[in-house]
This record gives sequence, C-alpha cells and structure tokens, in this order.
Amino acid sequence: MAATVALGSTSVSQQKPKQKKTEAEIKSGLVVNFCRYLDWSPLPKSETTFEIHIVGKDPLGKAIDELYEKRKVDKHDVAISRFGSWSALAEPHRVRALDCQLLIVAESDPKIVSEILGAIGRRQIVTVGFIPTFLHLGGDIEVFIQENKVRFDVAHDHLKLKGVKVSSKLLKSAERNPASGPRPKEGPR
Amino acid sequence: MRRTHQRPAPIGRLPCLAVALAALMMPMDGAAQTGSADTRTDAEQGVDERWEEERGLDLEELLDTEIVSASRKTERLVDAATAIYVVTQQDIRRSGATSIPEALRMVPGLQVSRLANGHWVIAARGFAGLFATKLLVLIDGRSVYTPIFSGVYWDEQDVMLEDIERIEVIRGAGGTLWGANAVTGVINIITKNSADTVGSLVTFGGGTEERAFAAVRHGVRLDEDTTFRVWAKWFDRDGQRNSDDSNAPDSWDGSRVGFRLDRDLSESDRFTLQGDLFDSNLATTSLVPSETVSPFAIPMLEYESVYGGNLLGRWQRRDESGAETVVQAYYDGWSRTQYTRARRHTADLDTQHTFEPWGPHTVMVGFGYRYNELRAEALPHIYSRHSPRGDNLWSVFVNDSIDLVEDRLALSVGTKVEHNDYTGYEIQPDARIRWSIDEQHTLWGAVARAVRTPSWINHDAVITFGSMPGSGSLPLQTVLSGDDGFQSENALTFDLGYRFQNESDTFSLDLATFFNRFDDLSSFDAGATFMETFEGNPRIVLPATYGNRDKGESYGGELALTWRASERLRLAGSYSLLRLDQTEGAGTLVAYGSESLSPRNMASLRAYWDVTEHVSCDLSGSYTDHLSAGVPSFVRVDARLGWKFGDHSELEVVGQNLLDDRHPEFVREYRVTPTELERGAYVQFTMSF
Repeated sequence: MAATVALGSTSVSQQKPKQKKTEAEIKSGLVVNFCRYLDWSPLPKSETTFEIHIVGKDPLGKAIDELYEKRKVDKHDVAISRFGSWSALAEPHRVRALDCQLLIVAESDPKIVSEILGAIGRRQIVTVGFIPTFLHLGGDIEVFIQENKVRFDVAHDHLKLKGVKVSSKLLKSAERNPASGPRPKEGPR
Repeated sequence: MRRTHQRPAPIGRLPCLAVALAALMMPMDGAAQTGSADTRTDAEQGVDERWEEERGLDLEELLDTEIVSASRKTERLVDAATAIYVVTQQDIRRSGATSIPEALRMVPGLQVSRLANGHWVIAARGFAGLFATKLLVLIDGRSVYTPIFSGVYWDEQDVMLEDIERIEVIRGAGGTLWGANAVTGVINIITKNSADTVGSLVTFGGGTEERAFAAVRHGVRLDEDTTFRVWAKWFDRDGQRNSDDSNAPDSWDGSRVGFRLDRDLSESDRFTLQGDLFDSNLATTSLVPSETVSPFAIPMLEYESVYGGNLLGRWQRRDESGAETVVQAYYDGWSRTQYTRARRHTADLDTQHTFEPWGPHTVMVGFGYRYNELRAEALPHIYSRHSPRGDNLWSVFVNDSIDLVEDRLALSVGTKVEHNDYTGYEIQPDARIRWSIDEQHTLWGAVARAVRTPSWINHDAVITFGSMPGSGSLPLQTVLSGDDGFQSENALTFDLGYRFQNESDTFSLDLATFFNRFDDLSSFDAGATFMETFEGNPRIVLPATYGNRDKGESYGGELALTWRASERLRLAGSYSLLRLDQTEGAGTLVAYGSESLSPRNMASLRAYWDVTEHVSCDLSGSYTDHLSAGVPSFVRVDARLGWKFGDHSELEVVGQNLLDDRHPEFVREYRVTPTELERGAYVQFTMSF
C-alpha cells in the first residue's frame, strides 16, 4: 500500500500549465485527430453513422464517448461499439465488428492481432493498435508510450493501398516506435 | 457487445451555427468528400474549434501532454517535497547488481556496507549497524521490518531483479505515511504488474564471487482481464576474504519461488495476489562466547538456515472523481536458526482512502492493524524473557495536501497515530511545503517527528554478547537484558531541498539538506559487575540493560546529478556529507559511537554508454570515506559490457571491485566477524521469448 501513497498529489506548471491527461483521454484525443486528418473516400451516405469499433480490452473508456457526444466525422454522427475479446466472438459478431471505418484493435496477443488484420484485408478500415509489432503485422496506426507521453506511427503505404488519404500534418507528427524496429514497407494483407 | 449511438451535435452556440452554415454550403454527394485530408476545412468536418481547444484536442498539444493517473497521486519526481531517489529497472540491469543491497549502492547518501557474505549494513543518514533500526523497508507494500530488533534481515529480502519496476528510496522521516521506524528513511521496492511480464524469461550465469545463479519467469494472460506470472531463482555465492588474505568460508546459497496475479475486476477495480517462498543457507565466521577456554571467545563457523514465505492480496478502486480506495492484507512468516532458533508470524491489514473533498484539498486517510508473533528457543547465550510473544499494532493516519497556489505552491500536513503494546500511543506529525518557482526549479522543506518503537530485543532478550579475560582467569562477559521501561527513540527532523531540471530534460540536479535532533536514543545502561556460576562455570558478569539515555544530532546533505550528454551517453553522479554527534548518557556502555560507524563523505559517478544499438558499456566508481571505528576509506570500480544479439537475447560481462584485491566495509558486530569484499567477475546470459 505504501507504494500508492509514496508521493503527494501535486504538480508543477509554468504560466501556461502543461496539459496533463489520463492515458485514455490522450488516446481518445488522438483518435479524434486520426478521424480528422484521414480521408475515407467515399464515406457512407450522410444519413448513416461513422462507425468506430473497439475489439479487445477497451483502452479509451468513457473519454472517447464524451468527445464524440458533440462531434461528427465529415458531418456523420459517430457510433462507437465495443465488441470485447476477439477470441470470444462468434462469427456473426466478428463480421459485424469489421463493419466500420475505424477499428481499434486493443488485443495484446500478436497472433490474435494478426488474425483480425488478416480478416480485414484491404477493406477501407483504418486499424489502430497498441502493440509494438502492430505495423509489421499489417496494421495502419501504432500508438505507443514514450517517456510518459503518447506517440503514434503511421504505415502510410498501408493506408494508400486502402484508398485512405493521410494529411501531411498527421504524417509529420508520426514517429517511429523504437521498440518496433524500422517501418514496414510492404502493404497490408 | 455495448453500443452507443451518439447524439447529433448541438447547434446552440455560434461556432456550431457557423459549422452548420458551412455544412449547408457544401455539396452532399461523394464528390465533396474526395478532397484530400489536407484540404478539407474544419467546417467540413463538423469541427467546433473552441470546443476542441477547451478540451486540448490539438494534435501537437496532445503529443506534448504528460500522462497522469486518474487519482493525481503519482507526481513527477521533481515535484516531490521529500529527498527521494528512484532506482529504475534499467539502472539495476546496467549496474550489474545481483542482489537488492547491491542495487541500493547507487542511491546517494545511502550507506551500504557488506560486513560479511549475507550480512549487510544499510542505513540512511547515520545510525548504521548490522541491527540498524531507523530505516523502514517495504516490498510491494509489505513491511519487511523484523519485530526482533526493529530492523531488516537483508539476507532474506530478495525478488527476481528483472521483475523490479523501481526502488524508491526516501531519505528522512516518513512516519506519517509509513508508520513507525521510518526515522531516517524508507526503501520501497515495487515489482512489475504481471501484465508487464507476459512471456518467458530465462537468465543464468556464473563467475568468481557470484559462483552460479539462475532465474526463470513465465508470464501468461489468462483472459482479457487477468495476467499471471510464476518465477523461481537460485544463487550460490562464494565466501569473501579474511583480513589475513585467507579464504573466508562464509559462502551463501539461496532459492526462491514466487507468483503474482493481477486482475482488472472492472474499469475501476483491480486486484492483486502475490506471494513467494524462500530458503537460504548462510555460513558465518563468528566469535562465540565461552566460559571455559581463554580468551573466552571461540572463532566458529556458524551455519544459519532461514526459510519463510509471504502471501499478499490487494484490492484497489479508483473512481471517476479520482477517489481511490486500497485494501491490503498479507501474511509473512519465517524461521531462522541464526544465534537461536526463532519463528515469526505476521498478519497485517491496511486500508487507505484518498479523495478530494473540496477545493484544492486532497485528503488521504488510512487505518492499519498488524499482529506479530515471535517464538524464540532459549539457548544459554541468548534467550527470551517472554516466549512466545504476540504484539498488536494499531494505526490511523490522515494527510491533507493543499494546492495553495495551483501548480505552484503546495502544503501537505498530516499525522499518524499508532498504538503498540510496548509504549502505547505514538504520534508522528509531518508538514511539507513545495514551491515550484517555475517548470525547472523547485524548492521544498519539511519538518517531521518520527519514532522508532521498541522491539523484542529491547524488552525481552537476554544476550551474552561480549566475552574477554577478566580478573582471576575468569571470563568477563557482558550480558545485555531487555527492559520493560525501554521507550521509543524519537527524532525531530528538518529538511530543505532544491531541484532543477532543464527544459529538455537532459540535466537534473537534486540537493537535499537536513538537520535531525534525536532524543531517548537506545543506550546500554551498565550495572555493577558480579560473579555467578553459569552453566556450571564461574564467570564475571557486567550487566547492562537497554535504556534511553543517549541523545544526538545529525546534519548534512546529498547531491545527485544526472546528465544525458548525448543520445548514447548518460552520466549520474552524487555526493553526500554526514555529520553525526551522539551524546552518550552517564553510565552507558559504548563499543562504537554511532558517528564512528558512518562515513562522513561518499561520492559516486556512473556512466551508461550505448556504444551501438546492440552493445552497451557501463562504468561506475564510488568513494566511501573511512569509518573511525576502524575501516579505511575505499574506492570501488565496477564495469559492465552488454551485447544484445537478436531481439531477445543479451550476454553481459560484469567486473566488480576492479581496482582492489579486497577491502573491508564494516567492523565486527555482535558475533559476526567481518570479512572482506574481493574483486570479482561474472558472465550472464538472458533470453526472453
């Protein structure tokens, strides 16, 4: 227990305090930016919803719901669905889980991640993952933590093959995950 | 499957109207959506800039945002209003340390002396000794302080070093949060969550002093919310060297198995269950009292066997408001055949609740109960006046952290109230203030009262610990007895510190200074000698009882510097100064004054160099001033060369104490004859998969 009371509860800032958020809040904010700086062409008709699906253990929590309460993606309302563990999903639910524009792959086992990415193939679904080999397995955006800050890397080639355009702003902000080795060159499965 | 359909964005605010108007002006077919991601306007995407700004959703800003835990209780090191030093997993790995005490050598201001193989003297800010009493040590929240002498048996403290997340070492009083015995410091060893150790790891090696060692760990994810690891380790250490350069036979081997399970019960609830079993065999060169053979103290090799185990469960809830509740319970027990056969059983329950009741206040309240049972077998030269003995310890604490000026000025006040069976109620208040001058500079100060409560040895033990020729060819033996009147030792401590961290986080400076005033320090109060027949033999007895006649003052400081000179080179240096003046009460026996057992100056420099992506080279040097009790100063240099091959394997070569054939680090304590640390080297191979 002492570990939990080891330190006090204060923080420092300059005149403009440095922002501090929980990991879920930052990751949710990044998802908002991914949707903002990626271009799915074409998106579904305007009366339909933009689907964000989460497979595995939800890393975003309520933070992502709160952000999309007052936000749209290209004028589409946003629906966020959580499907739980991939290995526990029956086939119809797996099909439904992959019926989306953005898939958060929150599985930690590379074999399962590989299976999900294989099931997606070159469908226009942008995948966001959190394990160090995510891009190598065929994923599109790898989110990782470095020095207590959230970072991301983008497999531009994968997204181009899927017909998803990436803004230069997003590409400029991306950086390689030191734990993942060089960026993969090959496209997704 | 949970599904959330979101409401359409409201249009009640002007920016939203602008968005709506802009949206109306845009074509609704697919052609409008084929513009590149760079050319689409915020309005096209339904972006309310002000709303986003309020939430810090700008991409650059997000990437510059530090992660904090929901409870806000984890703070940056630079903000802590205490003299704290953190040893990371990387520090441990690259130091070449093979045990917890060796890893602690890198902590500024911490005295780590190896009296003999397996016998460690570890102290902060003075009062060093084999039975040092004023430093509290915890492993994952489990106190490893022993109720035998209010100190730590370092030979029984071990974990798989690869599983240590960090070791927090706090110099100075910590009684309010941690309770009694945190007088001059707290060492808090924290192991990794099992979610961070999924996979397998095997490490083994051997060398001259570290003759052979091996450890294996296997971690699995049982389901989406549950992870588990099991581990085992074994070591065999060579004996050290005698002062006459002969081999000392104080070899030491030990083995340990353990596990840890972590489960997320819900989004806000987490449960941990962990435990381990150990067995350790230690040979010690001792000087054992004798009543028959002059000089009445016989050199002897004593074999000590220690085994034990512990089991700990912890439930933690952290709700959306940031309030956190922790309930923890553990059992800990061991059996030792060191000097006597003793068995200890400890059961402990702790609760803690942290919440933000109003405004800038963060309040932490806690309750704890501990039961200790000690059984000591009676032997001629050491026995207990009461055995078995069971003791109860109750405690409550409250602490309020107040942000007086947001992010700039913070005050923390609190107190712990304990009730123990020896001295009744003990109060340990604490007040700390931190002024963050700006992002780089922090000043802090603290004043606290801390106590060291009595233990079995102070109240119940009867020990023959000194034996020499007396008059008339009879042995003169000092017999130390516990006394029911022995009170807690207490300290009033004052700390002042300064920290600097440059904007690019490449350089940091941490300076801590202190002044401590001690009252009612433990003393050996001498009585009049008398003659008696003991075990059929005559002896002259110099009786002594534990008392509280000594006083003392200490002051000094510790400086720690880190500099990331380049992407590949990191340097860490430290210097510490300690002055300790102990005033012995009238009629007390003094073997060594406390001031003679702690070095006045200590300094160290470590360099971590990543030569290439796969090769690392680390060098450390330290200077320890002499002990006026009779130990010369020494310089120790260690080096490590590591070679990573493939993604998951590493070969390391470590040299220890390279500049010196051998050197002593401490003086004789009780029966234990000091042996000297030798130059050593070992090779280690580690593979994870």
